Amino acid sequence: MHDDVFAPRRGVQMRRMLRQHPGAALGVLFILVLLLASLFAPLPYDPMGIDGGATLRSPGGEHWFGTDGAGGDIFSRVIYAARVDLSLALAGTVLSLVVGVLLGLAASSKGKGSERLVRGLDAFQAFPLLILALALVSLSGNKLYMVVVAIALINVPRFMRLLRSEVLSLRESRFIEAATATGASPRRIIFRHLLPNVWGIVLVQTSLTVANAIVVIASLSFLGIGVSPPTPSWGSMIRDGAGNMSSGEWWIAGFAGLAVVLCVLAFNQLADAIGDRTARTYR
Amino acid sequence: MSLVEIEDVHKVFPARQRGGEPVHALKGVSLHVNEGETLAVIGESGSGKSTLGRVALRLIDVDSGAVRIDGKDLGTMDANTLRRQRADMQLVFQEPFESLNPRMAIGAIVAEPLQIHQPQLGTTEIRRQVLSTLEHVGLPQSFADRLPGELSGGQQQRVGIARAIISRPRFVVLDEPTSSLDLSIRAQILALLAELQREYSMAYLFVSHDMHTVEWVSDRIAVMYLGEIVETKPTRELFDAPEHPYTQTLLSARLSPDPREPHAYKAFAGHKTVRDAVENQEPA
Repeated sequence: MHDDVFAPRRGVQMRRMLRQHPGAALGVLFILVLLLASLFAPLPYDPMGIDGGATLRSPGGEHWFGTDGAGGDIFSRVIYAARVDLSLALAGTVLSLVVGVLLGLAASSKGKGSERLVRGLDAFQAFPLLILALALVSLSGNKLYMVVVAIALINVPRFMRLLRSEVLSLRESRFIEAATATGASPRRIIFRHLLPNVWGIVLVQTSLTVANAIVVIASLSFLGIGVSPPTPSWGSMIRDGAGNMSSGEWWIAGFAGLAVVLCVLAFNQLADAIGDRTARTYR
Repeated sequence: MSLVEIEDVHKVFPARQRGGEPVHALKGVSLHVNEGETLAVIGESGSGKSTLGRVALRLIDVDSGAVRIDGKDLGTMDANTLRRQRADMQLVFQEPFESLNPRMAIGAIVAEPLQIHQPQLGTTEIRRQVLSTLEHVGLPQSFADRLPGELSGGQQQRVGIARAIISRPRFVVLDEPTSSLDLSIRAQILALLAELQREYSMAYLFVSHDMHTVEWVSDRIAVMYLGEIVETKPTRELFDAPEHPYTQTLLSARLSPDPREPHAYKAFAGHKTVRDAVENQEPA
């Protein structure tokens, strides 16, 4: 449907968005650097290696972020953990997005079926979803793909609700009526009028979902399920370091915790910037 | 034969909440609009006048009765035929901004009727027609790439008008097109509508609650009250000799430019509501 004869200049909008939200720009930069570093950068030490002669070293010239109780290099481990943690978060988000949007569209059609879908959703959301996810992952024998499914389980209902409420209110909107009055086909109305006006808010939710997924993954591996040792993950590093906090070795849990906080902050900032842009278009 | 004929149309909306009263919006409404004329439908909010405007374009299905344009019954048309018919009948909204897709460029909004009804024109010709239509309704061509949110209310309404006329319809429903605009802008928009009507000889169904506006733009006036048309007359005649009590109430509610004018609001004296005033008219 790229038969637009006129289009607003999107490049300009994108640049303006990043200029007005330096936090979001910084966040995106941080995530990109972290992800690329975890995938391609040569790390100073083997992230899965241990070194009995260098346990519990404090941050310094040799080990930038210090070492843990087994002598693992925290810097290498924190960077490397992004590989698993961020990929799982992104995969979970994509699954939530696709399933949630499709179900949301289905739930926003008129008729009995969509009513039933929403009732089912209500019943489902009555469960404490994190506990459900926990049970699911541990019952599956700690399969990583179950972590992705667990994230989707938590976030699909949110996408569904969001999409349903947006589409239902857009349906009643004047510009949809205007399109009908002009003689637009249902297909044209969905693709040119409905969906483009939903994407902004879906994008916001997507960004928030990544942040949520990072926390869920960290929570699961903090509880010892999901990503299992020796593969480093932020959650398990926080658990490892928790016992050392009282004896003063803050860096084991500290840097992993910082990584989680910064990632969540980055995606929240991005969500904010996108939301702001969407709102500005509506004004 | 008139261009548009509406015959004994009934429309009931189901109650919004369980236990609420269904709304009888139209109770046997009949009217006709001749080629090139402006018929104003005037009434208070809730009188069914906006519903009538949408029924005339079959944006709302009727419960009974018939709507014909050019002798063709809209009610029995299948979806495809009806969509094609829409090139010939358009709508201008009360809320200019809400009626424009906030994510589409102005040019794309105005181009849409052509893309739908005359796709064979091709991009270049559609572009050309969009730009000349924008200019025609008093907007600079450079607005084509802008978003609706970047325009003022009056400019947005000009876009709405451009979209309505670009497919050269013979019938346009104007649903209170100026009621959300400033007084000075209002006059400009009304002048534009009048000019376009002369040029393309379109028929207007002008829905309004404002007697002053209607007096100025319409050839004939239909007065609506509680879902019924109580009086239809040429504008001058209606103003000179209103027959129905409601029409008399409406006319006396007009504000005179002279604040010392004594008879303003006379018909309301001693009445709490319009309905009360209409149904319990004191002999003058």
